[in-house]
Amino acid sequence: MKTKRLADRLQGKEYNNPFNDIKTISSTPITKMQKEFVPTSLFWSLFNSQNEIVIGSRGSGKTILFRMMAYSMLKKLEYDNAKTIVNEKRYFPLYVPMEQDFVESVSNPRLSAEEQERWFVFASNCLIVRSLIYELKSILEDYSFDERLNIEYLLANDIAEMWEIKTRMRKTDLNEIKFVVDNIFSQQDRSEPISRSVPAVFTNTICGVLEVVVDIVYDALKLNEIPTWIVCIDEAEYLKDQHISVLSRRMRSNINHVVLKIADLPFFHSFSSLHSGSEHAADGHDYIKTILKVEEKDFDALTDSLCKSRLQSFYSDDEDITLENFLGKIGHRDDYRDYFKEEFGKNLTTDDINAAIKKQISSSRRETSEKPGRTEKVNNQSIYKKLAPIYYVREMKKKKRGNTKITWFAGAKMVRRISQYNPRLFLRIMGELFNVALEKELTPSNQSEAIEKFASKYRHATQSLMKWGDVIYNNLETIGLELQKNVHVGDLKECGTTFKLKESWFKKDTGWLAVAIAYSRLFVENLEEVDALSSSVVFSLSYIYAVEFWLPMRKDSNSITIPLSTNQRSAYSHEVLKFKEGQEDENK
Amino acid sequence: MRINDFHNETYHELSENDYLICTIGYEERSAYLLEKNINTRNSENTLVVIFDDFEYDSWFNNTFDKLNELEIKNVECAYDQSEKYIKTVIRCINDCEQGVEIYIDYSSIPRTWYCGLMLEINRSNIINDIPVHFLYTAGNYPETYSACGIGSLSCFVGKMLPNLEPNKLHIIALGYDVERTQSLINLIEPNTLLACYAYTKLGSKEQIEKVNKDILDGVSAYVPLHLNDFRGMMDRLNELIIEQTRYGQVVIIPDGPKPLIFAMSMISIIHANTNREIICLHVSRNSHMVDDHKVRVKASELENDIYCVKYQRSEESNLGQLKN
Repeated sequence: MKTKRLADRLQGKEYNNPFNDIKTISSTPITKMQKEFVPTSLFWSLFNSQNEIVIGSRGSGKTILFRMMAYSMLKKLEYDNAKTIVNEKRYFPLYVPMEQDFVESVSNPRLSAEEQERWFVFASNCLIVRSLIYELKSILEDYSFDERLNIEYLLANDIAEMWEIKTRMRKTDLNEIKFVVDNIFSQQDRSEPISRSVPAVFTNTICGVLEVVVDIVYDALKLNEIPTWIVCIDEAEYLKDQHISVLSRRMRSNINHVVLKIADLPFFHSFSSLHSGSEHAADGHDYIKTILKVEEKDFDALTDSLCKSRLQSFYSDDEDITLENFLGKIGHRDDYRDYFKEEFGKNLTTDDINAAIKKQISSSRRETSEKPGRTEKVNNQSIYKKLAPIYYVREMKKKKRGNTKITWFAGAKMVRRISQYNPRLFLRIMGELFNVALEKELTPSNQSEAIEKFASKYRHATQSLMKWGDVIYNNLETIGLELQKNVHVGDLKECGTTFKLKESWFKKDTGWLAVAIAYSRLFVENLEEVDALSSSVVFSLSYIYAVEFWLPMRKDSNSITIPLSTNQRSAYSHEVLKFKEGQEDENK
Repeated sequence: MRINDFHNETYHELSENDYLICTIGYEERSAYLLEKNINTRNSENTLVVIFDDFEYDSWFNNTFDKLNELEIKNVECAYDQSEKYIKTVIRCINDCEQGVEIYIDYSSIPRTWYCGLMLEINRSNIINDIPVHFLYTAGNYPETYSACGIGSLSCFVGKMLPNLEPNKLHIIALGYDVERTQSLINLIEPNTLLACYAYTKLGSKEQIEKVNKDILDGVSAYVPLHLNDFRGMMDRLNELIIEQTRYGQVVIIPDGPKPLIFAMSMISIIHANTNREIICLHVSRNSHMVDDHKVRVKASELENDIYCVKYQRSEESNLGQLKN
């Protein structure tokens, strides 16, 4: 049973690829962000009065969560929870992005450690001011014109006084405050310590500018209770150790009505280590750690929402645009069993498959399955159901020789699975599929071919990851090949993408592991329970890599342990063509 | 510092009056200009900086003997000792007599050295308006060579606060190492991306565009620049920055051949001194590369493959300095 594929209507057209607009969320236009946002239970749970570290890999959705928490964004959402939070005004989140160029520009290793910290505090406070003014203006938009003028004047006057910048203001409004603070920032020379003429509130403590105006805002807006200001610090991965120290001490000090939420990559920073006499925040006491996890149904909803918003312009308004309808469906469930039958024969029965599985398992296991009294129901549970996904992958790989096209990495379920709950990765895969849809019919075999090509590019691009690219590439080759051997060589058995690393791996510098995890090449099982990376941690190779190495996309309860490879030479070093500056090409 | 302080030049053999500062060790190309001008070198007009990890190789033996014979001064410097290099060169500039001109061979030194030097000249009150010439010898690379990857990004000049509404333009430079450029793009995650690249002849322009096709397909615009025309590169970059900073922030990431890196970095210094929101980030090499990525680059040895630019403080720059 096949469903008409929406993608086929794009064939032969010359459209711009809507999925190529894969800017990061922080650079996505605000209206687009609002349109595509699908709030999850995790999102609503962030509205609390706790310091929190939100951990997720790149592209996993941390930024959009933080951005959408802001009052200016929340008030445009049509969800009951959003309306409640906006009306109650108990929480005012501020989006504070630690963009890489910003962090680098306020970090000068030539200055003393103390001065570097002071610079970071100063710059962060200036950034918090920007966000605060932005949000205050958004809040004031909901007041009548007269009320707005009055409140803005009060706010601007009192805030300027509290921040000791009143004498620098030409007029009394929020825009002028932003202008003055921006000027104070731009006047500082990054190669020098912060000038002593900068008001102390900007340089003493991070969020200091906010703490001193909490009551002012409460009074001016005539709120029912003093709100909690949630300073959402995004892109903490770019922060240096001394910056993390500042944030950690801030969380330890636990000031009323101002909390920090920090978005970070797994295993990049520790916010709770004791450091030369100064005490830092304690995990579980001064802050909580939240792993960014997306439920399957939420990811389904998100991917459908992204498809609809990005593809709507190519179809009529009443078209039901979902991922399934775009890619088409086969069989009853449109899952790997249907695609297997599509490739090996639709008349294949479950008995046929089970018989084939039985032939491939170990002789001891076969004997067990044939013991008297052993029912097919038990065999089904303990053997066939468990091993079927692995059997399918083995058979598919055998069928796939060279450039032959097969129907395997196709369909909505597969695309979502390979994306592994990473919206950015999903968009990239969809970008590839869209390009193919413009050229030819997006049949399952064409989808599969496109995904295989994408996986190959992704694997190749691993070499280019910052600092550790070459090491990560080499190590993942070692791991991938071991896992592949485990799947395809010998008897059919439970196996998948999960593995452990032998202790010898951890005797060398393991910085590469954190980067591989940050960039979703590797995953850590049960991340919330893992404090540090070691030989007892269960890792999983990404499903994109599983495409490349023909691995079943599943966990294995008996993960293999992979030894460290002694061969560290790159098997795939990319090469640069000769740069013939000013020289004639000898071949011409 | 102003654009008018930079002037295109044609390379000429150095005279005894010309003070040459060269750096030996990273690749064979590093000794080319020194060897080419060895007949006019002596202990008073030459300073040789030697990388501390330079393992004296056969290609340098003859020159090394000659340097010893001429008693030419040498200073050892590690790759990450840019401050030492900068202080050494500035001392040379300040100690120079009237009529002497400084020639710096930057063919084989890290950007933190030659760009850092200019940053320091801009920052400090070196009133001495001795002309400083920067010389770059194009390289003759092996047919294929392993790429060097990206370590990290650091701020060279400028600073800015992030805007909450996206309006940032990244300007990156392209070369032949497409993987490196792609890696950089993945790292910076640009909002809007503009690419520039330097070419010498029409053939190389098409070659660069062909090699970088995928990247060029994804950028908002791209700007070809002529490597031979340093001043022209600066002028064009200047126009771009003035135009783009009207709408938002600009982040410049120099890469590709050194004269382009130099031009992009210098224009960044000039604009960082204004109110424009601009940052220049420098890419550092990847110290974790598994393979031995030392590339044996020889000098091109064609006359017109030596690129020269003269820096001399103009009157307006001096007036600006005095006002400050």
